[in-house]
Amino acid sequence: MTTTSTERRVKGGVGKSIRRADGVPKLTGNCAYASAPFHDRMLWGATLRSPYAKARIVRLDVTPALAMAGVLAVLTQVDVPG
Amino acid sequence: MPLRTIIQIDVIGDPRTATVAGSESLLTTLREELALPGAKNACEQGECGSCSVLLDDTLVCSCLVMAADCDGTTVRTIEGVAEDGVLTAVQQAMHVAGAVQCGFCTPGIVIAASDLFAHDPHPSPDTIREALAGNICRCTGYGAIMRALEQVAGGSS
Repeated sequence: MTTTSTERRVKGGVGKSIRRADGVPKLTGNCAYASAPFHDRMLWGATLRSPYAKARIVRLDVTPALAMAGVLAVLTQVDVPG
Repeated sequence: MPLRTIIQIDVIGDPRTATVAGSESLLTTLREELALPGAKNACEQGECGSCSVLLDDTLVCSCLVMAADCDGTTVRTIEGVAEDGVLTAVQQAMHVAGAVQCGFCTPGIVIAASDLFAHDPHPSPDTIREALAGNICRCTGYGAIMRALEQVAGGSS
């Protein structure tokens, strides 16, 4: 007797136990997270936040910050419109 | 300028020299000075275990260890666990069991579990849980992690 079994011909992912593509990098410490890259002469940024929940910026003097050693740039709302 | 100290440590088999600030943690030195970001920086207060490393074969949270105290020590990080790219039994079991999700706790889990199995090849489930008590997984993937490690514990070695 000849029978034809209806084999599952799963070629995609459904029904299969798939190993995660990023499993090995994460298990070996080699996964590149956003916080991971460090480069020579990399610049560091810091955010100055308002101490007030609701207020209008009347004046912003960045001159003292720019005068500090190692400070390359100070960005304000003028640099980031909108 | 803060005081800076030159330390020499053996990291995963490589003698390394780093110049560290007085208050700098070993974790910061590993990640930022020695370009080994495998140990993760999360809570910075020894609660989450994601920065776990072996310091002279002792499991520590590297965020709580001052780098300046590490002169002359041997540090084993996650980067040095798989030898020649071959996953250890712990890593392989976690991979197969789907015990890796976002992966942020994974290096700490692997280090802590490896430390456990080095001392106790066939720990009970309770012993495994106790050994991982210092490692928090915020994906809450503990079930798969436990299944993986229980499988390692039950295997022959």
